[in-house]
Amino acid sequence: MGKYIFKRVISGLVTIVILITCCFFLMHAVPGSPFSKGEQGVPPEVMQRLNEKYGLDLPLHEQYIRYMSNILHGDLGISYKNTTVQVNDLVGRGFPVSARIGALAVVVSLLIGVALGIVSAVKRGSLFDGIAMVTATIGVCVPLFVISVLLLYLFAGVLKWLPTYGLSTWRHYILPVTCLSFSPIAYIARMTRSSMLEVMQQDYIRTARAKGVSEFFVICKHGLRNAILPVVTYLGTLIANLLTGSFIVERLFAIPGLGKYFVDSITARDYNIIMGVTIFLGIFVVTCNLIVDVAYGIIDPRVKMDE
Amino acid sequence: MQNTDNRYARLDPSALSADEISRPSVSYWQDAWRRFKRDKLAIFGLIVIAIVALFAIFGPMLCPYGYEDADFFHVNEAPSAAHWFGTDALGRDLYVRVLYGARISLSIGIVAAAVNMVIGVLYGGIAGYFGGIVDNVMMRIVDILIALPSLLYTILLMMVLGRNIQSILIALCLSSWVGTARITRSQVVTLKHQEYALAGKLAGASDFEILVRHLLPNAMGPIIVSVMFLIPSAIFSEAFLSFLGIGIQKPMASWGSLANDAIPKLTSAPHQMFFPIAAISLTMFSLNFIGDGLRDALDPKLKK
Repeated sequence: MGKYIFKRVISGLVTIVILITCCFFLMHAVPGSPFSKGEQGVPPEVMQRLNEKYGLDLPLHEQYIRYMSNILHGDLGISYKNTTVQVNDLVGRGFPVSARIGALAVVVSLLIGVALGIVSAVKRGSLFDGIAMVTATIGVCVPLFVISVLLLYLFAGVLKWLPTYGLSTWRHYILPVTCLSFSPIAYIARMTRSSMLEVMQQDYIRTARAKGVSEFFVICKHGLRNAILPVVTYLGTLIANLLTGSFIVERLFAIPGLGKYFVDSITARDYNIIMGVTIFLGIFVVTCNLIVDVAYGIIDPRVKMDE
Repeated sequence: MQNTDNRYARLDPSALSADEISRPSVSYWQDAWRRFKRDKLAIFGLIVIAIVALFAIFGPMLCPYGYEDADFFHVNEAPSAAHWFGTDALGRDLYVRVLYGARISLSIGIVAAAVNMVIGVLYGGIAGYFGGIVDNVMMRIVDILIALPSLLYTILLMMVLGRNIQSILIALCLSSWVGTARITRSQVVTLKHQEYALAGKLAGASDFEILVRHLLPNAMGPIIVSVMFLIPSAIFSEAFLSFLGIGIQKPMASWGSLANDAIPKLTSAPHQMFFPIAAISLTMFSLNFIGDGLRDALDPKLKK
């Protein structure tokens, strides 16, 4: 177990170092200095001073070492468009907001998705199963932005039941969280259903029934505990999907989260922010994947730790 | 003396043919096509995609408007006989813009899937065939790439390459071949110890010949399924980027950018949003149905 975790941590660290390196060289492949863009008429002396101040006159490898050591010290740099803005502040302000919505979406998708999957599997072939699976197919196929726009139009535009932007009351959370969890619910429901159907045919389920265990306990204790395993592996993907999904939802609902800042800085071509936020998101995703993998190893003893 | 033992009775001649093979033998691909034909949803998807493709190719030629023809006397109009899907804020005909969007989306989907197939199949094939340290290094690289959402790479590459259709394509092609590579590798690893691969080697075929002529054709089923699902995911990625305003640039239009343009007028002119998202939803549905049908047809073991 220890060796397995150690291997996973090392591979996670390598991933992050490569990501930072790629980011650094990609952003330096963009032609021109960060200060020459959009700021015409900057006198050459001022340019010189700016480049010196931010170390942009150094050779590339020295800049790289400097950037790396800054990140190791937890400093993601500053915005070159507006030098009073620090990437760390941006992450500090935006991430808690995004994380709150994301965590809610994870909980909602897991609860509803697993519940739908179980009921569909138990009542296989019923009307409920049919409706749930058609809805799940829609959820899997239709892009997030289509669902978000439709829900926004219906509940905020036509019916006017829910607010359209901001995050001041609990009612503001309903639409963004629903949009984000729509397709995860569909995935989880389909996954739970098919693995539940498989598990319920196993011998130990028959044994449990033969012993006279109530149907509720058979489903929840003996069935679900085994059927839930594939859902755990999906969690890593889910977090990555919610992260990219937040770009769309936060923009559409004007939520001041990290996703919105990221998209804004892409539109403004603020390379240092793009780089800093990408690295932060990369570290976040890699850490989440690591936790999911280790958790899976603990839950399912059949997983070979040395692989 | 009469033979009363009916064990020696003459056999009915029709019974003799019971051992003969009465139907022509069916190849893997014929069998797959037979299974695919039975899947109604997949056939429906195929027909829809064919119609969308026909409209995308010939529709703009038959339409009196161009995709950037502005008409300031008819802005934000609802659908009518003159403008089937209405007009946008600059008075451009939405029908022709949605058709141009179909051209962009479909061509991005097809080109990205084709390029990804070539890269992924070769990469996975080489890793699986040579095994050992080659495999180990190549697959660790894949692990690193797969650890992060591919949209992040796509965005980074778009920043460097600029915002146009070519750079979207390049970015998509560079970032989404890993799934195909993994599937090809696992197929090749199981196939390379088969007798026919050994026979090929004994007959003096080079490694490359064995890989390309013997192993890959036999691994084609699962590869095609994974590539088929790349088409909707490439279309989705393009729409995602354009919807955020970092994909296709004006005055070009794709379904994502049309939807993006329609956000501010969602309540006053909902038709501007409706047509592009209906088009993309229909296409995504159809492509996913085709993919599901292909998976059931080509890989019967996977069917649940």
